[in-house]
Amino acid sequence: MSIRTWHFGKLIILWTWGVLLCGLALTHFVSSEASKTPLLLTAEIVFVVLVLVGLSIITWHWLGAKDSN
Amino acid sequence: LLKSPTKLLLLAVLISLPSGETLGQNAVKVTRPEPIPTHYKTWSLFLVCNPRWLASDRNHDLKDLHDAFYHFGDTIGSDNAAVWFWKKPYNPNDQSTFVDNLDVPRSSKFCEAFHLPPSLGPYLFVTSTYPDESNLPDGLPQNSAYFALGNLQSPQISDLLAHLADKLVQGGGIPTNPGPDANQTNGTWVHLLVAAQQTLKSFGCALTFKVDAEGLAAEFHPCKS
Repeated sequence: MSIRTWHFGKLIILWTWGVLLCGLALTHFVSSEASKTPLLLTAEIVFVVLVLVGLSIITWHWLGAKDSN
Repeated sequence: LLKSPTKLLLLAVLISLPSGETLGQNAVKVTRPEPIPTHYKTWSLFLVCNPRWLASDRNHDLKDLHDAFYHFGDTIGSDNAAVWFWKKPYNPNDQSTFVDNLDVPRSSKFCEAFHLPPSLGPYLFVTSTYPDESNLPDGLPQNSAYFALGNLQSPQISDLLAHLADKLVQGGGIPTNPGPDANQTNGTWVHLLVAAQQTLKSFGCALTFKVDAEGLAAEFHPCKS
């Protein structure tokens, strides 16, 4: 099924999960000592960026099918 | 009373013992013009010779380093001394003169003699050869090592001091000198992560959220650090 035909609610559900997961990852990221677990913190910040970029792409595609009027 | 040779020997031993001020205190705070005490097997000198660290914005780091020095001195055993140079006796209640009271020229003398670039300091210089200030060698003396602390975060400095304390207490000799670049490779990435953490924290702390629904109002104020 094309993203452009999705219901608006699907996007809300996706963004809610995305923000929740990113929030948890960022909370752990800012509250941990970088010198102790640098690899884990790097993975977390990469994960956050990928999730937000992914959701942005999905939303962009979804908006691409909408009329401006 | 002290005619017998045994008693005379006993008296000589008692006189040659270090004074009560330094005996058992391995976090040795050396003030001008007092020399570095000699009755130890190793000496760990904390050399503050980086002008950047003397700026007011690094006061906190410097005090953290002094605390680390103090705890390090307490844990390295009675044969090993940790040395910090003051101009006059340190008064913990008088924090305003903390930087002014540092004997930076005395530290700089060591940095200059051992060819340690000030910009990478402060340094921890560890040696089993008595650091004789009246006759400093040109370059690092034998059985010595130095550790550049300038680019390290407090937890990294604590880890390094814990590692050194292990070596000194176990009598493992002077640890290998990692040089200033060894910490740099890993340190750069960790620095970036720390910078990202601080940016995110300051970003979160700078925001104020206000939700104003009908009959319900909630306000989130910026955090105070």
